[in-house]
Amino acid sequence: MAIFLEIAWRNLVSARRRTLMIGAALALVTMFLVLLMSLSQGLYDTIVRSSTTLLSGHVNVGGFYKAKSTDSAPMITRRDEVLAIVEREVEGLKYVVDRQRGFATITSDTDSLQSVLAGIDIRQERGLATQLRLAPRRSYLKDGDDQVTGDPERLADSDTIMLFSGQAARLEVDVGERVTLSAQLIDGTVNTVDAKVVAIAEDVGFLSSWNTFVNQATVRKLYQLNEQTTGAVMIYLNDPGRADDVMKTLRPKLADAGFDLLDHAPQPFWAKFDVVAGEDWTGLRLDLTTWRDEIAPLRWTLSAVETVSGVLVLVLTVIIVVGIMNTMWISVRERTNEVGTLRAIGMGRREVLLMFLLEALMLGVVFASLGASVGAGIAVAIDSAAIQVPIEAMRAVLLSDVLHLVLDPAQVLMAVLGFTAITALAALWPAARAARMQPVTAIHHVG
Amino acid sequence: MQGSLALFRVTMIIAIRNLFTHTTTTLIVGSIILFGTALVVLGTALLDSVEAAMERSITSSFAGHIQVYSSEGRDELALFGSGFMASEDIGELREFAPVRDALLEIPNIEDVVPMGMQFAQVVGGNLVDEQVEDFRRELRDGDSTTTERRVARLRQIAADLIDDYRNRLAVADDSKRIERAIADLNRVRDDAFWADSQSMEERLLFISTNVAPLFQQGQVTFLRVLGTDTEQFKRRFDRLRVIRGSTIPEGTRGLMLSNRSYEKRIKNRVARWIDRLDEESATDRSRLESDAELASLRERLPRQYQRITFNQDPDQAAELHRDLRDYLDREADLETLISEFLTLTPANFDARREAFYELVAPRIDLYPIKIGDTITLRSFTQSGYLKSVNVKVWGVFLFDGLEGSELAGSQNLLDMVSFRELYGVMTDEMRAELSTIREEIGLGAVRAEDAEQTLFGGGDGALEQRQTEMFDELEVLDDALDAAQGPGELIDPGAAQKGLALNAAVILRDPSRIESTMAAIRKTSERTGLGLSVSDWQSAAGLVGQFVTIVRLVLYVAIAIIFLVALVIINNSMVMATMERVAEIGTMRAIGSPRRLVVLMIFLETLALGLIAGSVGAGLGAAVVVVLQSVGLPATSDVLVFLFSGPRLYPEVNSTNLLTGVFAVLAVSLISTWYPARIATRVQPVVAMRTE
Repeated sequence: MAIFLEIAWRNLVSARRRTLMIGAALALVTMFLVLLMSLSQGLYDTIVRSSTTLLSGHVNVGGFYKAKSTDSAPMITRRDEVLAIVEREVEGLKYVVDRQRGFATITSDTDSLQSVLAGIDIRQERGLATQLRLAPRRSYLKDGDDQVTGDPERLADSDTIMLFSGQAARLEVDVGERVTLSAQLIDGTVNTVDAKVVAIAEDVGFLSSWNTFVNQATVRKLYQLNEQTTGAVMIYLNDPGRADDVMKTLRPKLADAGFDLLDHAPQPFWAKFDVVAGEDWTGLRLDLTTWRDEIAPLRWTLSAVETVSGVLVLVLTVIIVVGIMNTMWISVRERTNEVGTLRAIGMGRREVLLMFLLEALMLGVVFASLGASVGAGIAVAIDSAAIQVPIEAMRAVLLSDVLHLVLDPAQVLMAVLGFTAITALAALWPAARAARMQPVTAIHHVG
Repeated sequence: MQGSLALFRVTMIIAIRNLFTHTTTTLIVGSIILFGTALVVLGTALLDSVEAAMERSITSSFAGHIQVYSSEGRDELALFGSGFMASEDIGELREFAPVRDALLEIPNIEDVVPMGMQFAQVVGGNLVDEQVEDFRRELRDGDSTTTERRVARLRQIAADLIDDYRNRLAVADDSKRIERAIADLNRVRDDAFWADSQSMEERLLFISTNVAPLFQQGQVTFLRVLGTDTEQFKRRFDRLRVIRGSTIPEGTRGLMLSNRSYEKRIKNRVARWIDRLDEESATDRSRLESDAELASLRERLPRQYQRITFNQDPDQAAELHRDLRDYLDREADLETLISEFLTLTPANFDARREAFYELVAPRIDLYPIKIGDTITLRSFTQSGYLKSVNVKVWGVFLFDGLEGSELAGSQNLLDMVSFRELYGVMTDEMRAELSTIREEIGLGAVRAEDAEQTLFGGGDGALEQRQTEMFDELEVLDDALDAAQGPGELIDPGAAQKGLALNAAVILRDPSRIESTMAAIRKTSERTGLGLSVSDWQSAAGLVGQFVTIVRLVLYVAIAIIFLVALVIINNSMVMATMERVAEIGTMRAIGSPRRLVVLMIFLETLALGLIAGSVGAGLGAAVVVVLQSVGLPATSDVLVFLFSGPRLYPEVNSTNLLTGVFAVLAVSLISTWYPARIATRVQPVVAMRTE
């Protein structure tokens, strides 16, 4: 075996120019593949991170409460009961929170904007503090400094709100100032509550321009609701991958406790208003979703990026396969004499095939690894440079203000192995041709 | 001269012969070139078509070629919305007329149309109020035949409301208010209320003051409204076609709904669902089962029967019940029959759809807003206060050729005077009116400028103030204003051109000179101190306009990557081919060919290959586009529908696409030949003799 490796190595080295050229092409393609994969992985990472911070738990027990059959208020009652069942029944529970859901106009002295409200109890929200960073004053005030004021813990006080820096910049407010929340109640009247800004967090992409965290009691007061109501109970798991299982096991437990449940539909809660308002029941029905359901409308960006990079990689692979075949072909032709001699002195067909395949494999491993390392290096460099995305619509698609690339070692390994395999496959046909030759014709072959 | 021509001929022949003798290399390089050109032609043609479709949708629906707005606003104009959920602050053109007059002096400008956009909600009517009003009229007319039915209806409404309010007790923090409401409702429901000594008028007064406010319309409809000079708009955006009702008569206030809003937002939901199922399975009804989204829509439909029965007139309900019994040939109550009727399968879909429009649609409120209705639009002003305005709905319109476009159908047209009220501009007349009303309802004297603040605002110290009561006063005020300027009332025909506009569409005589005209507008604005911001249609479209730019960017990056790799591969193949021909080249050199001839030969070889393969590739790309043009490229997702400006894209290929493709490929093949050509020049004549 070692002798074959040695022959293959010698062949690669002796045809240095050819090896370098095809190797460069292979490395280039592997590099692009790694870059594209880390881009879509980065996008996935951004979506997951901002959605499970802002919009959803890994599993949500939400629902609708209808006073009359044409209503569709996104809230549940019997909060303590639901919380108790979740805490008792969910395995691998990291923590559980409940958040009010609302939608309000936030008005400052100078401007107003609309935002989704999440009414939170900050003492429950163990994950929030690790996911959000407070923004320095310069990011939202024209002549602000690097100072970071404010404290999310103060959301425990009543009538408090935490804004994102983009919102604070628009409203021209600083920590300690007041804004007015006004929301339309179910009966069409408008109710307002003043809230003090206690913290301003750094933007976490596009979603943070229309999400805000407010003290839970404040949202209840805004909507004139009692303490047993909440928007949704959000479950965070040690292993987010188990979300579907947890949802499936939780459904019967809630049903046993006397809750009515809606059929599972893979949509976010706000896409269900219309359907719910058309159904003829009243009272409470729970609706269980996973974080994937809640971000369903955002997934097209991910599938768009994956489609584009998929097509691109496919095209590149076809081109590279053609190139490798051509190279191997020439290599076989050039060495026809040599093959004939080897066969004449007793080398079997399988060994000839092996020799050429080993050559291709060696070429593949070396240059795909090289390309992957360069690609990985570039990905890490781009990510740590935190390049600002220049086009606004691009930021909307990427859900982030900066270009975020995430390197997944398993994917890089897959890329290297994949391209090595592709190189070997591309070499298979020329190698088989070489192996099939009769020693005598091979020796007599000229050129 | 003649000699060099002959030499060129010979070289050319050798080059072409070489292509044929080295078939593998030729095929490989040729197919890469072919593929690359086809991709460039197809990609750029598709993108140009998407851009053209979007340009048509945007410019000929309401943006015009250029938009101007005040430079004082904090945001850039985004006709279709930006990322924030806030109304953009694009400033105000406080007086539109001077802006128009100044711009019309620029020769290429045909016209300037004043505009303003606002997001409004349609406030539904109140069933209780309507019933009471009809009842009162009948009583006045001395018609007592209906009394029994009216009383029964009012008692039924009260009974239904009691259930609502009982449910609400479970979630409310202040149960006293709700208990009070339930007590009032109980009173109306009970026999005693109708049997006591009160007059009917006294009873109705109790109902309209205590019960009517408890009734709430279920869901609200949101509309984007575009205030403009409707006459001028019709003239300048001549694709506008009225398909129901009429246009807003000159000098009249009113609203025209876009067909898209009317069909996709206002129409009865069950009808809308059926329409959607029909449209999306038009080519293949089995998609009703195979497509996950359509299937789930179809499965949920039977449970939506109350969208049919809700608020249905009892006579109509009886007729529908009878017809459905006949149609389905079975006995059951109406709701069960409707559920069964709405249980659709690919097999029964066409028949059921037809039957729906024949039997069901005429007996329900198919369009809750009808032509001729007066509706109330409500909107938040920039400072966060609610404003409302009553307008008559005159008709439904669409833009010819842009029927499928989401963008072109996104705005509804409102007369400029009503828009200004909705936006919250105070005219001098209204200020005077306000101060009179204010004195009447005893709110005390305040400066006119502070009227809005005083009437609507919570004030600085008004922590957690509930504004429910305040809004009763607002309504009084609104009613008074309506009386002063009713919804259908005539307005001064020139009013739209006088006073405030937020932005204006500039229509050009020659749209291709958009850049120079924008420069001219900027100059005029500087000279006259009008302070205008100028945007072409694409940047005025906001995020939407940038979409095409992104797709273009992605395509170019992809093509660049593919070409880079192709370059390396072609280079590879050509180097191999050259190495193989070292002997041949040596011989050529030995018999006296100069170096440049060898280089020329190799370049000609690639050039010929590039031209042939490139042309075939371009032809192939163009052929695909032509095929797509005749069948239409279906938009399979919402994003694509939006990008294609309709359900299908009919792309066109132009000479620029073809030339770009061929030139790009030629450039790539020539660059990739540089290195092999250099190798060839280094070949010494002597090598020809060395090889066997």
